[in-house]
Order: sequence, then C-alpha cells, then structure tokens
Amino acid sequence: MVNLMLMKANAQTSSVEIMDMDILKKIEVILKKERRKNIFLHMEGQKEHPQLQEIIDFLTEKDYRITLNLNIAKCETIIGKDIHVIYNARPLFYLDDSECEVRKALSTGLNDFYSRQLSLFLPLPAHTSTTNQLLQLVKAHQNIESVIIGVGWETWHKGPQSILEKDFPEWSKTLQRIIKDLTAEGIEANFACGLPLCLFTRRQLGFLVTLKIKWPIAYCLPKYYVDPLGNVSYCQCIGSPKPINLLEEQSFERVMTKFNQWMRLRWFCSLAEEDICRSLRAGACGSGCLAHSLENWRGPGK
Amino acid sequence: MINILLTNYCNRNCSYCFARAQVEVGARSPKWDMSIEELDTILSYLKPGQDVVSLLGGEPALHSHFKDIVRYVFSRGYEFKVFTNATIPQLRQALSDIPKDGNKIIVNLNPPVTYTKNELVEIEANCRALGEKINLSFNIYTGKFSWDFLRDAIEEWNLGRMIRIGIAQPIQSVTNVFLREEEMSITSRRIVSMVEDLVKDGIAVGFDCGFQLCMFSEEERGILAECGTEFQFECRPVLDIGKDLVVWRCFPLSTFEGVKLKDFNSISELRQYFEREWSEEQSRGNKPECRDCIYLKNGTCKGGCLSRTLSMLQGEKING
Repeated sequence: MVNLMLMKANAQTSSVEIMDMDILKKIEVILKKERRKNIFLHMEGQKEHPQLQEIIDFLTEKDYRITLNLNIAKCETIIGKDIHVIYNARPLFYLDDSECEVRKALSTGLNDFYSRQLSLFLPLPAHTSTTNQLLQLVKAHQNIESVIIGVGWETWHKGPQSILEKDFPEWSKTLQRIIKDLTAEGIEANFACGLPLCLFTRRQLGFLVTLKIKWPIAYCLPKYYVDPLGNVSYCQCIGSPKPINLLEEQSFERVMTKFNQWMRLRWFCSLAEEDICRSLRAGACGSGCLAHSLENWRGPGK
Repeated sequence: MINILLTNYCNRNCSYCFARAQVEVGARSPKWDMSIEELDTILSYLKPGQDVVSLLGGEPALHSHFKDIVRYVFSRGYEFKVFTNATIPQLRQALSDIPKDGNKIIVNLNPPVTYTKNELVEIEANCRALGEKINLSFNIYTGKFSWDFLRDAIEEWNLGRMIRIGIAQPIQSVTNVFLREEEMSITSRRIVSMVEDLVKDGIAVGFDCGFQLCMFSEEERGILAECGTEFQFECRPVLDIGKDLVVWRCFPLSTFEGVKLKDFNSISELRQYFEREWSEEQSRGNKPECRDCIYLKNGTCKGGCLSRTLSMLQGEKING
C-alpha cells in the first residue's frame, strides 16, 4: 500500500503544493518495478487536484487498484470509474451550526455517489449524538458498505477531537456499541491502524473476534506517504528528521531501510525483555501507534 | 489451496484419521499412487505464485516418485505444503534442499507412546534435517490431552514455532475415534491453557477448520486473541483430489460420491458446486441451538464440522 498525497498544504507559505504528472510518472516507474498495485490517493481539504481526471486515467490504464480518500462534497471526475472511495465523515460530525451549509453539501456528496459502494471514515472521539447521526447516515445511504473507525490520540493534536489514553476504556464502550449497531445494520466495521490490544478488555476482544476485526489494527506499519515533491514519510503522523526522497532513493525498499530507525526506536521505547507483554511477544500486537508511543516516551517538553 | 492425495497408502493407522475412508494400510502397492499425468492435469487448474499446492495422503512421501514430484511442483513455480507423519526417511531425502520460503512441511505429531522405537528415530531424524521448515500439527480426540511433547519437539529440533491444532471429527460411514460432544467444554478450556502456556515460549497456535465459536466464552476468545492465536470457525469445501481425479468436498465426507475434476472448468466452480450441494445441511450447525444462532446466520461461525452435523442429523455416533 502506497499513499500518494496529490496535494499538500504548506504551512510556511500558506499555499498548497500539487503533484504534477511528471513526478507521478516517475513514481509509477518505481511502483511498477516493485509490483505495488494498491494506491491510496489523497487530496487536501475540500480541494480537488486540477489533473485528477488525468491521474486516474493514467493509473487505471495500468491496472492499479485505487482508493480515493475524499473529503469533498462532490467529485465528478470519478463517476463511472472502478475505484474505491473512502469518504471522510469527520466534517459531517465536527462542523458547528454556522457551517451547516458545508455539512449539507457533504451529505449531498454522499447522495451523488449513490450508485457506488463506499467506505466511511469515522474519527473518534464520537459522542452519543455522533453515533446516532452515523446510524441515520448509513441507513439513509445504502451505498455505504463499511465504516473505518480511527482514533485521534491526544498526542497527535490536542483539543475536543482527541482522546487521552487513560480515557480509552470509556471510549471503548462507545466503540463497542457503535460496532454492534453497525453490524446489526449489515455494515462492516473496521479499525484504522494503531490500537494496542491492551486498550480493550478480554471480553471486548472476544466480542471483536466474532466480527472478524482485522488484528493488524494493533500494528503500526509504514504507510509510505509520498508528498507532491516525492518525499516519503512513515505515515501521516511521523515525518523524518531528514527528508527521504523516493525519486533519489528509487526504491521503497531502500526507503524502508531508512524507516528502520523508527522501528529500532520502538524497541528502545519498549520495556525490558521480561516485561514485554505476551501479545507483543506472540506478534498479536505491535504496541499500537508509533507516533503515540514516541510522544509518550519523550514525555511533555522533551 | 487444494489437497492432492498423492497416494492412498499410509504406514500408520491413526485411530482418529479423518482420511480413513480413502487410506490403505498393510502392504504397500504402487497402484495406490497418483500418476504424473493426473498430477499435471490438477496443476493445470492452478496458478503458480497464486495457488498453494497441498500434497498429502496417506503418507505422501511413500509415493514411488515423491522426490521427483516435489521438484516438479517446485520447478513450476508453485508454493506447496506437505502433510506428513514424518516416520520415513524419504521425507528428508526429498525435502532437505527445498528452500523454506513459502513452502511448509506440516508434521502430524501424536503423543510419543503411540509410536514404535524405529518411528521415533525417524521422526527425530526428519525433524532435525528439516528444522524450521516444519510446523507441527496436533489432532485432539480427547479432552485429556497434553502438549509438553509438542513444545519439547519444537525446542529440541528447532522447528517452526507454530502448532496447528484440529479436532478429531466423525467421518461418514467409517468408524474412527473422534472428540465427543460432551468433551467439548473441557477441551476448550484445555486449549486456552495450552495457548497461554505455549505463548510464554513464543509458540503460537492456529486452528484447523471445524471449531465452533461457542466452544469458547467471550473471555476465552479474548485470551486467544491476546495470544495471537490464528483461530477460525470455518468449514468450507477444502477439495481433496484423489486418484482418477475424483474430487471430494473433504475427507470426512469422501464416502459420498465424489465428482470428476474434468467436469469442471475451474477450482472456484468446484468449490461453488460443493457449497451448493451441502448448503442446507451446513445451515443447521452441530447443535440444535445453532439454528437460531446469530453467528451462524452472519457467517462468523459455520456451526462446526459438516461431518459432525451429518452425524448429529443421523442421530448416531455423537452420543453413541
């Protein structure tokens, strides 16, 4: 799985960088060489890449399996294309009343894809009203086939849209209820990556097992986020002290060797051998989100 | 993955064997071996690099040309698994120089008391020669089973650190030893203890098909998940292909008439055929309460082994 960030906000210049076709074609040569067929395409906020049509045509002609991460109300470009859509539900639930027009537009966007099976990305924390909204949404839009649930750790961004680890047990009950309700509606519920197993009680795990939840949620594997200039980061949350440019390295495998510093750091963060939990030892859990662990390890002010 | 019955002959006679209906014991004869032409026909249905070829028997290493067959399958680009009892030298002679990547040898190991002295010597020689290429497999036919000998074998002979466990199931129209329904509950507790014990040594456990989800409480399933157990509550057509290219849904049901491979265009067509054929019986599950179970309805659990369901429907064997 490779994530291509077709657009990226540049905080320093307050502008949005855009991946051009030349860079994309050079990246494609590497994808082809390494037989990486699954591609996630990301844009920025509510904006659509000006050459999205051309990009999708280029990649679909070469038989890549594309998933488009959408955060916009409408995307004429992809209508009729054989690509999977993950629709980011965050704006539906977190915009305040003054932005209800945007919310309405997003909801309309879901209608526009009525003939397309899509996944919804739901970030936690979710409040009771959110879960009710979510259920109403999946009932109203028969084309939603799955909901991917992600957790916004407080270590990533502070504020009302984040969760403290100590509060997770409470959230896990909400989570369990959401999943139960969704599956009762015939909707597949999945987790985004990075939730260590120990956040759940054994009974919760026993319940999740019956839903065939994929256990890689407990891992944090490199996602290869490639920005418009070809710089690669481990994932959305972990950059690199020095930029690693895919076009210079010419290989994801070589990039991976540079990511190994993070993997080594993870083990450095781990406890002594005798204290390593049995799930980590058994390979059932990868101790969850690396960004979250690193932040915990550094501690405040480090 | 499909299973190819390389030979019907076996040098062992395990009481619980689920392939009993097809297995010949006693004096060995080449007439029980699958021909290379038949093997070639089966391979023409499979894609190298995509499909895994399972070689089994009987004891597959007793096929007169086992070594050549392994090389042939490997040279054609297939990944393969060999299911063996590891009691004969032909096994290591054929497999010692085959690369580990993608290829696995599954050794079905019984408690040591069930083997002759010579068999134990051969098992040790094979395990030492093949080491990490081997994963052990263990069939449970009584609730009072132990697993120390499995751990000892893994540690002493440096085998792969995964044990595949299966429940001995009743087979149709043939007598075999199988785990009784009344022993399910004690067995599930014992399995959880086994998993918790083995994980301390970095040994994982994986389930074969035919387990019932309700064998384990929610808490027990949580423990299994914590310990990295590869569990499944499936019972799907595994497709066992024997001599004359006859295909059965699975060995326990092989006394029912099989179908001819050549009458089907693809493996998926075959699989769909068997799913259709047995869908009504499978929808019942192993127990009367399965009929109202949400997990059977949503496909999370298949209600246990279909052969056990058939036995229950016949009203015999399970409590017999």
